[in-house]
Amino acid sequence: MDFFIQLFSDPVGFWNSHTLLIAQIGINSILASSMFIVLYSGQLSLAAPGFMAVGAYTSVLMDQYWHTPLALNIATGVLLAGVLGLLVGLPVLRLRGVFLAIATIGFIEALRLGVILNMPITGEGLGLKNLSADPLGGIYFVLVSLVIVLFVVWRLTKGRLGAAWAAIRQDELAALSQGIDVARYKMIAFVLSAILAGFAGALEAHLNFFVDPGDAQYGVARAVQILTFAVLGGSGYVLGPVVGALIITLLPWIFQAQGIYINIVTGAFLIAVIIFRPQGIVGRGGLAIIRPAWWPRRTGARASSPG
Amino acid sequence: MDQQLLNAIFIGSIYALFAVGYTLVFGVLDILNLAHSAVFMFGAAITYSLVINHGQAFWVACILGIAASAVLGLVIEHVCLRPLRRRRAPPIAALISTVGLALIIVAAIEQGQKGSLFGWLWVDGANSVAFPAGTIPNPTWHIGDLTLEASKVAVIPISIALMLALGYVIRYTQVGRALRGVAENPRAARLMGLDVDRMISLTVVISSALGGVAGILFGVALGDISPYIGRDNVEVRGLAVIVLGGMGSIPGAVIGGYLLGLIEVFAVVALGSGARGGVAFAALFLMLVLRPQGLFGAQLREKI
Amino acid sequence: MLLRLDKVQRHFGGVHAVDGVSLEVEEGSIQGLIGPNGAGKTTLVNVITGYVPYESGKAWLQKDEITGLRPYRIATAGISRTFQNIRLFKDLTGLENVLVGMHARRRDDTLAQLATLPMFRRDQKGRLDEAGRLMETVGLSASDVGKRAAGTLPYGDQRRLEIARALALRPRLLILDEPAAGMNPSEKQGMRELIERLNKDGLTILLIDHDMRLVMGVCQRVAVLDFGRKIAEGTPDEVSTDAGVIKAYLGTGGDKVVTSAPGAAAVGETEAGIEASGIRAAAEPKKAILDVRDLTVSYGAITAVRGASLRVAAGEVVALIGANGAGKSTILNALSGLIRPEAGTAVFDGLDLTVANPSRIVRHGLVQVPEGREILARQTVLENLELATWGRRSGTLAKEIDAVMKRFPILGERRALRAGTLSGGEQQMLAIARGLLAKPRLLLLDEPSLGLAPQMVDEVFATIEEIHREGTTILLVEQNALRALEIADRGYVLETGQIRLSGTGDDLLHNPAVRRAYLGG
Repeated sequence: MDFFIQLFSDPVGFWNSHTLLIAQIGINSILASSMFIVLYSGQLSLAAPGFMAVGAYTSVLMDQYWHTPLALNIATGVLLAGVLGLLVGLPVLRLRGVFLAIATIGFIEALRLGVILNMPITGEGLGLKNLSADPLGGIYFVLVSLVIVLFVVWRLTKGRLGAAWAAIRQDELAALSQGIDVARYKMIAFVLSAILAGFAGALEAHLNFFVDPGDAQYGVARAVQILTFAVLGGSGYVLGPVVGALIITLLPWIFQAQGIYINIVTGAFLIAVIIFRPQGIVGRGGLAIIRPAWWPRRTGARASSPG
Repeated sequence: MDQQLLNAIFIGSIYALFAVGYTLVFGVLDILNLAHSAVFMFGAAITYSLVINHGQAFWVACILGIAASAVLGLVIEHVCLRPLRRRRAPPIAALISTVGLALIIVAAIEQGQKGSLFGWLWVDGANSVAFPAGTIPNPTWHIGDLTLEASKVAVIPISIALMLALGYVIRYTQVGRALRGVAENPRAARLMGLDVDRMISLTVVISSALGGVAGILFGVALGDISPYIGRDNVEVRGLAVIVLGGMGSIPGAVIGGYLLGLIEVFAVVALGSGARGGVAFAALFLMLVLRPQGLFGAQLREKI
Repeated sequence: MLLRLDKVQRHFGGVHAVDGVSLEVEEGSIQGLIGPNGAGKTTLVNVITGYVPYESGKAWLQKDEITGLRPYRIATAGISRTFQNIRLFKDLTGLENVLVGMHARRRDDTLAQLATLPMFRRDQKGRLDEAGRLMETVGLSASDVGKRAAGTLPYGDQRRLEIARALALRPRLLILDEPAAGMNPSEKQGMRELIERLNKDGLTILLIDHDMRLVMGVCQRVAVLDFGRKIAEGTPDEVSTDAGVIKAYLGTGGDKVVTSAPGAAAVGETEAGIEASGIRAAAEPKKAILDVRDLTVSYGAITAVRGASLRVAAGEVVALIGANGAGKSTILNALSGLIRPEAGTAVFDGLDLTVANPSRIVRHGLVQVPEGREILARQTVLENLELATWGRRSGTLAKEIDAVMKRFPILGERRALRAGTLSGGEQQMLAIARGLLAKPRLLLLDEPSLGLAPQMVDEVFATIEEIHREGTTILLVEQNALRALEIADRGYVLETGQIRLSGTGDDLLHNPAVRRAYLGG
């Protein structure tokens, strides 16, 4: 409760003492937007942490070895994340629903356990020290980026891309019949999402003195957390996952206990939301990704229909 | 090399036993029960706790631990699955609700400290513990180059026996037929007078009991029991196994389990111990890209 | 020549779904494609539109070969389609659905969006106007229907909306796959008029349906498919009097001479005629084991059954006839407890069906043999039968199964085979046998003759009569009104969810309106 009291009575003081928290909210919001794009186009991809890792490690390594400017490091990280997004997205195009989710989990864990933990240059299990980190100054960059990202994503959903994505999310086969090149639009969404995730990863690395390849950073746990943003907040509107990110990131701080009973609360939230309000807090028509029409079914008896 | 082969079969047995429960639920309900790895951990943790903190005899604790896992299965059904079925929610919703429950279960164990809210379940918090030597007879034999630890070796026949028993039940008993009926066509099953809800509960209970056994076997044979053994060992690997074997296919899960065990062991031999982690997931990814239905799964086709 | 198909082939695991079909569609014409259920019509459309690969054969759209093109390329080439099961974007509004059709023509506006230039707003307005006009063309209000989520629209509006969306592509060829399925006669008439109007404006249309009257009335040429092969082609008159076509639709059973295939008209149009023919009011039984009153059942926003009432007395065979989508199966599903009605009551021998658990209903003696048979294909015949006796503790189970196998010798022969390998007719026997093993006091049969070859239809109906003679009460839902009314004691006619008519089997059989609507005159 003191938390909120300070927020409203002493905003400046609040800002100063909670810089890291606010920055983390910003980063998580960018991740939430990354999730938003794939969900908006009907793809249940949990690959974000993998692209985050690429962005983070690239950026920090470039700084460590080549001492190149921050902007270039981040840009390169983002670019590589995008390229990897292309490489990963193509083979998984025809996977739908839970199969895509599992494939992306396979990807992120293969990347983390197979590559990162085995490449000496990444410091393997010990992670990387990031001496150029700027936890306090970086926040401005994060917040400005967030605003730009949200604006861009919002405008995209309003345009031709967004219209195609909305149709694809509803019913891929019907979208095809209307002349929409479903594969192409799905790839665009996937790569954009990878870019945003890579960006968030690079930013996060910049705000921390240490890059840690743990499960909670770039593994399944992180993927589940990002998914929670979208489930809680709703993925029908751009701001949905951002609201989810805000709440989930704030939770530990509100409860004054870092990570202790948090997971229980988060778990309970997930269950409650998916049962009682599946469209999320900022939702209209339901977690629109889930449309029975295109859930892969074994042929035969399962499809139910009226009449 | 032969030692490695033995290891592969040993760990493959655990993977297979775990995956069988996973795939059983998918086969009957068309959903992935992502709380299954938490049940795995729960079985082991409860059994340990019963022995160490509540002074039960080991075998009694095992039975109670399996029972507890089964009960947890009922919880999964009533909290995560049934409410969604009532609301005709699509399968992805169950994915999310079971993830939520998994978070709660793991956190509950993690928070288990003496005197805390969950102290009656577990008191070792986030630590990894093992059964004290001597809890069960565990002789070690040396045959040729092989070192055979009784507990590890015993895992193999126990797992195989359980999987065979399950296979028998599914294939040859009325209950098994009923379960297969519900899996194939719940509507027809209802019209035949089957109580589908009860069948589903039974499925989840069996699945969770098997998951609990797998956890107990793991904990005993590897001397590693912590809130994270599910997450670290079988959570994602279980997915790899059922993807390899084909989701919904029990023989697929069995074969997939051993296959993964072999793949991992050989990867370590060929590429060094670091490879163990990534190999399962690379295999998972490749299988989904090349043959999403796995080795024995049903063809996925959408009706237009 | 707009569309030309040359020996298109498609197999599905040994079955010739499309078997060497060749067809030519003239530009500016309305071409019909009809055939009984399962004839391969939709598969052919799926092949042409790229959803299913060609086994062999080719297709051309004017001079361009379109064989094997992927669906979105077929669309941009100028072929647009609707779907048998309606595939609208359920959460998008009516207008948004139509807008999707314009996607291919829409300029890429990503940069304009990012810069929030007014240009895209103008384009959008233009598109919205066009979408609104298209909706008006199909008879929908842009300001009303256009703003509602497509999934909430009434059935007829959904069908029309799907057409509007297809038109948004500005296609050269419009393929309509069963656009009038489930519509009542006046809705069908409206659809007819719409199709004619679109054609008059120059649009070439390929119309697939199994409703003869609709197709005959609106198409200039008709092709008939049966078991994947084209068995007839010509003008509607030529085709409707073709012996082979009539046989394909009706089989050889029944003692009625049929001059045209069923579905030629509908009862609702000629209600005056009904009164004039002086039907005896249906002598509804006083003592009924099944008593249904004012049953109303909805699926979401769609009311499938409205205020239906019927009664069945012990020992009767009651037929429930009506067109596709009239709501017959919905009533049966409500009776079996698979779906709960919104309103009304249904009581079976003291058991309130509207709240009872489905397994309880079965144990009480109300057993349904569902549409499409719904057997467990992956289990053997014997296993299917054994499962039907689930939960019954009785020493005579083995004997009962033997008795059933004696009645249906084919099942005895095939007892160890997987049920999925049986033919359609054999599966129907299995489904009925399974139903009988549950010891029904009232047996609900949902479309038992659907998709069966004529001889099997004879066998099925013979079996039904036999079961009836042995004392089982039967409620029979059938599209094949002729056969159903022949064996029924009484019947009800269901149209768009409402009971329009009832009477004894004979009365209905001779009723001129019913004859014209369901019996082909």
